[in-house]
Amino acid sequence: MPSLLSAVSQAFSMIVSLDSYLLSVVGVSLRVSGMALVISVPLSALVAALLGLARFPGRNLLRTLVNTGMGVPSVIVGLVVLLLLSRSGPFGGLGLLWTPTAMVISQCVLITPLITGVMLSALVGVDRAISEAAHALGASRLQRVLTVIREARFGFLTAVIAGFGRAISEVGSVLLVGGNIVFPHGVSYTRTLTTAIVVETRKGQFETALALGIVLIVIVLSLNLLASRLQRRGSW
Amino acid sequence: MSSILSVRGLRFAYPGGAEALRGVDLELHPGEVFAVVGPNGAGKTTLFRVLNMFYRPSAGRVEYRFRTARDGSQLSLRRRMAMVFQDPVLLNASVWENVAYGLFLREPLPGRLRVRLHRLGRKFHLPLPATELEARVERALGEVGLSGFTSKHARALSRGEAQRVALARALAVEPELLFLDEPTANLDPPSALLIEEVIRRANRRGTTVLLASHNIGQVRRLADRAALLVEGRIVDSGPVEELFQAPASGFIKEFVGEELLS
Repeated sequence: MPSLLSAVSQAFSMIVSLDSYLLSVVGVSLRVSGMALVISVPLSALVAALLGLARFPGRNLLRTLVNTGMGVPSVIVGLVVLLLLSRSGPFGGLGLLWTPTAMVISQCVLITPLITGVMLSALVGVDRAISEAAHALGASRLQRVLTVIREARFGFLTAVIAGFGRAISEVGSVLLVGGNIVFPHGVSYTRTLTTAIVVETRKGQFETALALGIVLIVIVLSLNLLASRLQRRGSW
Repeated sequence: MSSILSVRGLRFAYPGGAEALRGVDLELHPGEVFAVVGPNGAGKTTLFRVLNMFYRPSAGRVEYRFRTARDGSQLSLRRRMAMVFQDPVLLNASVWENVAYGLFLREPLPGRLRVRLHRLGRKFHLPLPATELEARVERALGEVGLSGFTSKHARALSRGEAQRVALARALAVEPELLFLDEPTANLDPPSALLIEEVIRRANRRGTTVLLASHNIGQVRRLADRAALLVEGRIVDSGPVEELFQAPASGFIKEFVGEELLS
């Protein structure tokens, strides 16, 4: 087993030398999870706003679905998406299985409930008096809703970071629907940081696996630092 | 004398609860300070919430006769009024954003963007003139003595300062009718006196004020007329000095205390 120190030094040298395999794996991870985020965030915000600020039939059912979805294991999401996209499945004709698009779809399914749930608790946490104060200063209905959402913006940011964190660090579903494919010239097609760690560990390449792990942690850590910095600045 | 607000037989009951307002009649004259006094739970806050259209009355009529309301729509009427609560409710943002809030609500999008651009430009030292909206925010903050506080965060304020910001936010929209629901109840005496002075000045500029207060001294200092609200009914009303010198009902004596009346 390699020491942590040698893994760190190898990670450093891989990053500094702009190792093409590493870069392509990081690229796929960021693109897939970033795209999943771009799709999930507006959808989650809409659902959270509906659940938090409106009353409608089926609200409790939707809420239960969101809560359940927050805890679903990623392999199960992967399995369902796999069955839907496989050749004999209902969406098999689209030919999406083993593509980054399939990975984006499964990550969307995975993170939308999580982002919705965190956004919802942020909305519910906004002082009810804010809405009344908005009314008392001449806000229309829509302006009141927007004011409450704006008050919850730090919680929304936390939700986005949490969603991205879950997306980029999950293994099960991207492995199942992406197929962990690398082109013959050593550039990733559907291999992400997490699935690459699985492969390298299986191959006994512990140093490369650890190096990839360090890159993954650095990405997640810097995002969280950015978020807390924005929150500390307070006014935006 | 014409009235700016006319209330007839106003009733309000909370869903599934007791009736909080049981037939309130009220006439507010333009330019006066009218105080509503009464014990806790008398219905003062409920009355204010019905009058600023946060609650819909279960019965009775409320008529608003503003000079500047563009049409009779609920929103247009509401935008001629503003309210300050007992506890300051500020947005999680800077003092400037808080005071500008009500103005932004009334400004169409191009105007809002223009203000944002001006503020952004000035950050980069572009010599942009202050917009009308910015001038009004400055004036309102000056009014409450917090001119230097624009970039301070609302959370960094003391309670008294926060209430002054809440008052500035209400004054910035230049309401014809200002509701003040026990605005100084939780403040120390110097802060309370400062806020009273701001209210007096706003009133002198023509704002009609409806004030709920526990503080009889404050009512005597500020109000022209007052009404005593007990259990959802107005039991006594009239010019302040008459009301407290020669109360028609035993309620006032009980509420105010014998010694304060003399």
